[in-house]
Amino acid sequence: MMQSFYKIIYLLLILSSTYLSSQLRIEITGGSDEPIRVAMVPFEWKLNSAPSQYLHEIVKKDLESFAEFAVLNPEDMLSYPSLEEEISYRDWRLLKVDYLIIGSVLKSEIEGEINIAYSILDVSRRKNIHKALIKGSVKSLKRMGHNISDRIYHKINGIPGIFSTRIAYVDKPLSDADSYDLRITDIDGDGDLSLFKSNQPILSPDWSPNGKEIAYVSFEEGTSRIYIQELATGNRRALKRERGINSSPSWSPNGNYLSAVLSKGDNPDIYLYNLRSNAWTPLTGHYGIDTEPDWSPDGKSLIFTSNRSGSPQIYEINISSMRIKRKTFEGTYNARARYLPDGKNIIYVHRRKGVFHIALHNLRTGKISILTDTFLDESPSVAPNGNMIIYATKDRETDTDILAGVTINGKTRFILPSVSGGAREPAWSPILDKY
Amino acid sequence: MTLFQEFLALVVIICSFSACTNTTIERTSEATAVPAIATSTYSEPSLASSSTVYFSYDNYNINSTGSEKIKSLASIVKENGLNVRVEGHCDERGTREYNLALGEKRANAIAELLIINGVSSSNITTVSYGEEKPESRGSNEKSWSKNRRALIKTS
Amino acid sequence: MQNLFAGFFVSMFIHIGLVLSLSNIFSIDLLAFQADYSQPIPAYLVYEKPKLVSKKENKIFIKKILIEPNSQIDIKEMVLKADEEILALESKASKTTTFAQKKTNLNQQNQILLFSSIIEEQIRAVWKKPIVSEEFSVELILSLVPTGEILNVKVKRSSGSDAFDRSALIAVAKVRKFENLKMPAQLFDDNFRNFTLVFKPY
Repeated sequence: MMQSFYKIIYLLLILSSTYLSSQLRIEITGGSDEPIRVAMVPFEWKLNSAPSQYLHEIVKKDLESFAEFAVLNPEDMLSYPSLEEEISYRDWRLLKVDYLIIGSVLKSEIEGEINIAYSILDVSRRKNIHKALIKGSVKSLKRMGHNISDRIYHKINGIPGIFSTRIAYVDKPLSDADSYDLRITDIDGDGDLSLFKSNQPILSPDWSPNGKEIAYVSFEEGTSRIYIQELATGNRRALKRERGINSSPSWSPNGNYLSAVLSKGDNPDIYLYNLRSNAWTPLTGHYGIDTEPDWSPDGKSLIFTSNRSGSPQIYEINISSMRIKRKTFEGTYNARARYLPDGKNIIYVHRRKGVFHIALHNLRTGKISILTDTFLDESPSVAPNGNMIIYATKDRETDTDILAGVTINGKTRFILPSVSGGAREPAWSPILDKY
Repeated sequence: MTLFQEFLALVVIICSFSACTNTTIERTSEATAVPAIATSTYSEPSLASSSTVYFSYDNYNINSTGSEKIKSLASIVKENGLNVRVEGHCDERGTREYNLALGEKRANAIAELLIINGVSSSNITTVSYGEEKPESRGSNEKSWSKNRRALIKTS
Repeated sequence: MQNLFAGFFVSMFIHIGLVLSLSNIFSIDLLAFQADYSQPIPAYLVYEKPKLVSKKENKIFIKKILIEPNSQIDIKEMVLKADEEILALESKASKTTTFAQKKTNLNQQNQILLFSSIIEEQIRAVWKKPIVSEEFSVELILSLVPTGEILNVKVKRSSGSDAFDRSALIAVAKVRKFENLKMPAQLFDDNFRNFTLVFKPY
């Protein structure tokens, strides 16, 4: 009995050792560049009133906007299932569909409300990977569509979708030299609204981490001052003003502080503003220019622009140790850096041969990639999922200021059309619709 | 309850969990913002005079023509007890906030020279507009050189 | 039972000690066991052409070279020479050589590399990776039958991202059966009946 027991153990040991040592490993690096193919069957509409918009059209437009997905047209489908039992996976496989989305729009017990039930299915493994029921008002059908796009994007790509987010920007119409307008828009260009208008410059909008307020600089008193405006009510409050520049606000990740630039010490320096006690504390105190602070996602450090070495370069300051480290060494103009949500990469304005580009810089490896090749690119802002950036640039053909975007891999470019020809300083909101 | 019954109950609970797999039920929030528009209008005090000093790129040194201008202006300000407002401006190249800082450096350089020439610092205010108020629109050196300037306004 | 193990270790210890201490007396050259320097050493150059902007698939070329004893190895020169040969191979490959012909020319190690690259190519063509940073990787264990059909897939080590793991599983499900995987039964049993597939984004 004892002997046979040890025999078995001995055998297992031999087996496992050969198994571990000799098993072949094949590494797959990279993959296909083809977009992920999604089919969204027009949702069954179980309401009495006709739909004002079609969800599958909203979702198609969303998912295709960054060329990561190809969405099948309903005309090319072989069947229109709305339930899992009705799916013929073979058909979808023939159509080379990776993911299938089916669902229905249902009545709700509550007046004016609807329920949307839907599923995401993995066609090659014939698996339901996500089921959800979304409730909302009939009027917000479009927002619900964006919300579904966000969820699909998240499930398939592993990072949050940003189709429900917004972009704040400053608009200075070409036709009127003395008009400045702080606006917000959905990322598809819909729902464009004015937040604040002035005949004096407006600068540097920055979203609060909860997406409910925007901090910005206004010259309405004839000199720069930082204001915070609540989106839902339009209420504005001004930060305590100091002599000289009051500018470049950046919200701390916990929402309790703003970092900003004051020049009350005769030189522009980085300060912290405590939003509870309304007090300013200096962070840097160099005789050169220190400006454009941005908080790291963990809230432990800030990056900023300084010309302390003679030319503008990016520096990082650790808030607890106050230690300052230079981060950029390539070129003679590196400014207005912003962290990516991973905290390991930054983007900034980089001048090369007299032309201003947006550069992506990996802080660990030091690798720099130029993401844009237009003229006078500035004010880059990162999407909350870290996968796209939006920036301001000049359209040289029409000589207008426009907002343009690029995915972080540099592959896909997009343009936010500007009506007035004077859009600038985009600021991408955080995720607004939690899901 | 016997141990076996307890075990059965646990199995039933676990099974019921896995049966409802991953259906999530949630509400979409309504439009997140109902923005209200605020407006504000700033009007400048009536000016007695306004003169301009030009700068070279990424620089806040005052050239000789500039300092001559400021010298003669300083004596007028002193004689009439005027208030001076110095506005620093930049061309569009470079980032907006960095240019705001650079414009401030230009305005301060002018203010310093006014003080050296006898104007009381309490009569001087400085403001930087960075690249926000260009004199000339256009992305070429001709426009840029007009925009790199400081305005000295007296009232 | 404890005694049995103790005896085993003691004897191991003594044996190793004996070999080491007597190696001088009997002038056993321990280093000589590492490699036979009198024979040319076979080495394999596995090189991949850098990805071009066009959508052409990457091809892997394997070439056996012989390195003479005591010769200086100039890798740079070898790579340069290899590049020329790739160009020649590429133009030739499109015309003539079949997998079967190639196979007969290669020994076992080469065959494993060749079949691995065949598997890699087929998976890579259908793998649509999600957006993840470079540190993510997932390991799957595949079980095949000699026809190349995939019997079973298991996640050996998850990447921590559902989306990333799923993308790898989908790629395997899409392939379903590997083509051009006909090989001797022994080679298949030793290497390809069960093997590990590692997916890395970059």
